[in-house]
Amino acid sequence: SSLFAIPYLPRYASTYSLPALHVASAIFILAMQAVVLASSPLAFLIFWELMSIAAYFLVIADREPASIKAGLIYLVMAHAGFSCILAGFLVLAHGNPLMDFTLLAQSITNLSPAMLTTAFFLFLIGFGSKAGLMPLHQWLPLAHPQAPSNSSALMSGVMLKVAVYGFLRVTLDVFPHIDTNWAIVVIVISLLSAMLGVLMAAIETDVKRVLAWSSIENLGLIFFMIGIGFVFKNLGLPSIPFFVAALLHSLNHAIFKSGLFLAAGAIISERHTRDIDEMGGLANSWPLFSLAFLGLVFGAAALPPFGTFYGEWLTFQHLATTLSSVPLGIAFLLILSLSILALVSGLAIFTFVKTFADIFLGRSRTESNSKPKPLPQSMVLIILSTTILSLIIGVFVSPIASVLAHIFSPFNHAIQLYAPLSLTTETIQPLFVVSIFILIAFVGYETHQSLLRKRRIKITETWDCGQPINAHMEYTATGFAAPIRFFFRSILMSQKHMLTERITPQNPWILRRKLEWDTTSRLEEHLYTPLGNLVLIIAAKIKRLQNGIIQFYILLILITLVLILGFAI
Amino acid sequence: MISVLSSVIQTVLVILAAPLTVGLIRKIKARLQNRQGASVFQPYWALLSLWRKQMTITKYSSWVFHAVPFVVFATSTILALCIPALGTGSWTAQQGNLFLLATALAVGSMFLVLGGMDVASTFGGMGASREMTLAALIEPAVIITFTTLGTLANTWNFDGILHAASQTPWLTSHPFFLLTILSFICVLLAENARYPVDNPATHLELTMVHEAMILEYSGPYLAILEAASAIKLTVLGLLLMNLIFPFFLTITSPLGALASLAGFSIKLLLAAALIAGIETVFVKMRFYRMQEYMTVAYFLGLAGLILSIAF
Repeated sequence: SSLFAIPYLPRYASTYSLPALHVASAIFILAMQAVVLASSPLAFLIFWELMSIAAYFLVIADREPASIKAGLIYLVMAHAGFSCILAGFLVLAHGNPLMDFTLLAQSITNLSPAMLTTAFFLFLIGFGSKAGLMPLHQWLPLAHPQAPSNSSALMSGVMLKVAVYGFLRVTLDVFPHIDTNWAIVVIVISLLSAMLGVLMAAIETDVKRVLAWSSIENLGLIFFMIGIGFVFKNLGLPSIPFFVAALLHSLNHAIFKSGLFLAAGAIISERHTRDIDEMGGLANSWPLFSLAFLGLVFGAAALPPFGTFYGEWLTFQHLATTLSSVPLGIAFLLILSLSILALVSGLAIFTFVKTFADIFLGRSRTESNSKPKPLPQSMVLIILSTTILSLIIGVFVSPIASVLAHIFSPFNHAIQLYAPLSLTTETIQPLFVVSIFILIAFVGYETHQSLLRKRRIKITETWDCGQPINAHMEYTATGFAAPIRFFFRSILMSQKHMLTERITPQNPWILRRKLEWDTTSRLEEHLYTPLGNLVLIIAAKIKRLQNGIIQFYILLILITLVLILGFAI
Repeated sequence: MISVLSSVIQTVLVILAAPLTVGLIRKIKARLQNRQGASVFQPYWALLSLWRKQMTITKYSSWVFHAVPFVVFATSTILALCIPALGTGSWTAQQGNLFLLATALAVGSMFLVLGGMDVASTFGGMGASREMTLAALIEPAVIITFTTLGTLANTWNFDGILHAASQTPWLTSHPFFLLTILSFICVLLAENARYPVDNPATHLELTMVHEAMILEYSGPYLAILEAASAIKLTVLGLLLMNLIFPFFLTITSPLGALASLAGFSIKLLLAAALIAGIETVFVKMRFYRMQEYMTVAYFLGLAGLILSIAF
């Protein structure tokens, strides 16, 4: 991603203050690495905060009003999350944040269940808000698209994974035991996030927001895999496939989402808009780039032979195989999860087909656009390399999965390079899948060439029913997603306003019509606005303390001191 | 070796028989509507004449347009390879994991959609949007039906499933399997763009899904796409019949092979008759009522799955 910045950022030298951006990026990357390396809660928290602050400066980098608003929302959410994590650690460690993770794990065995439950949910809120889980997801589709594309790639690709890491680290290393009820809460929240994320991604037309919503969906899937893993662990069933699937999916998501954000950046810098409705026809000008993008789309839609497929396959297969060996109640939960996952994966395909088709296929929907200039080689190569990396994970998924499984049970997993993937009782041979695709490409290319040689291809206009058609008659992304908006209208609650205006005031029949969409989630209205008002009201009440009498302030300090002493003793 | 040979023979047989299925459906439908109907072999001639023609391709299309027919044909062929038509014991059918085949179906519709979007025409976009919606919404029903089959057979490829079914026909041993069959019929009709989901016979923009996407294709490419959809229809139709009547599925002895060939012809005829019957009795549903259809398909499958676990 940093490599991508070299050809990419100079195009925006006037929008961003480049030195500041570089500093913020460097601190951001450093802090993310430090969080993962931290061995004590204190270091973890410090670098976590550093990461959040650096990300804030990336979000507001272009100093647009929209970015500053998004940055503010992000900052509030990040700090709410941070204080939850801090509180979680303090609850676990009896207020002593200086011990390291192993000591912490030993010391909490004598905590009461109520304390553990509180701590777990504090962590869930903290890490969940960073990972964009429902209902604390609102900042993500606002903040990620506002950052420069290479920073969005880092934020979606890596920062969300840091949240996954934090959650796994705490739940696996520190907590002695994860209650099944807690895990079920995680499952419900994550399935809701996946479903809402993919639905919003399906109807969204801003390319970077599509990617941001899709991140919510994927993080939902990852947290689902973790949650169901804990349920299986408690039932005494093999849980490793789920944890491996979660890690595999995190890895894949980091790669394909970074690639997609970078590609989106390249497209936006050419088209000067983020609206998919105004794009189209790029595949002819940038064939190699579109091929790379199609590969990433396969990754994002979890289709073979790319790596993402195997993570989802492990989950589906393991859920399905264990159905008949669990109690009926749990089986019902598994079936419901399986159906929701199926719908989510179907809609994910929908989302990315829409994105690819409306950006690359057909002809450009705004006719003023001249033929796009060829992209710099280095940009294409970097995006192609993410596609290839995603494919390599798909081909060598079995050794990677064995290594990941090794983390959870350090025995019994020989690492073989070409073995079929077999963590459950079912196996799948990645090489078989890949060879099918190579065969298709080869046969297709040969037949195409032979048809060309026989001069049996004639290039014409699109069939137009007898009157000329133009690019405005093409289906846009908004039109493409219309059936989804209709079928899920009770969930999405999007609002359509038909604005009519008389062209001549006397004649009521000749009207100018305009459609307006409002697809913002109702959740914002019903949850965030009252919450914000509540905070404002409380703040106004507290403000009365600030009355300017110095004796009163001294009294407050005294009361605080007495209270602290009282707690300490 | 025998198993590899068996899968090659079965696949070639299905590919060759596929246009016949379409011809049979059209013939039976015509007879039910008191028409004479064209010969059952008409689709072969249609494909042949298409193959010989020159193609016209719109100037706005890109390389994706050229890739689509091959990918779609390949996904149909993969289905033909991995779902046994004649009998069990073929090598490729043992490799084809159920969920992998579900993605093969998805890749097929995805590329059809890309082909429809790559022509800069409203028709293509309309069909593409509808097809992608249907493909996304039918996914839960597909996964649930496939899971039921896998759970009943305790194996996750179609070779094992048909083998298990041929030991004890599930319709008699588990009567609720009928629910899964009904759900599977819904999936089959939706995946193959038949009534009540789509009208395969018209180019009218109110009804069309599949036809709209392939409107710009002509000549050899159109022949490939038509053949691909015929193969998919044949494979899924035969799978349905093999699940209802899991007989004559051993092809190890010469006599068994002959019997299964006869069974194949009868099952093909029955599948064609069933689809033609459905198309004669039911009308096309409004597209914006499709979620009711999908919900029915899903809940039938869900009931089948829960009952198959509970008992």
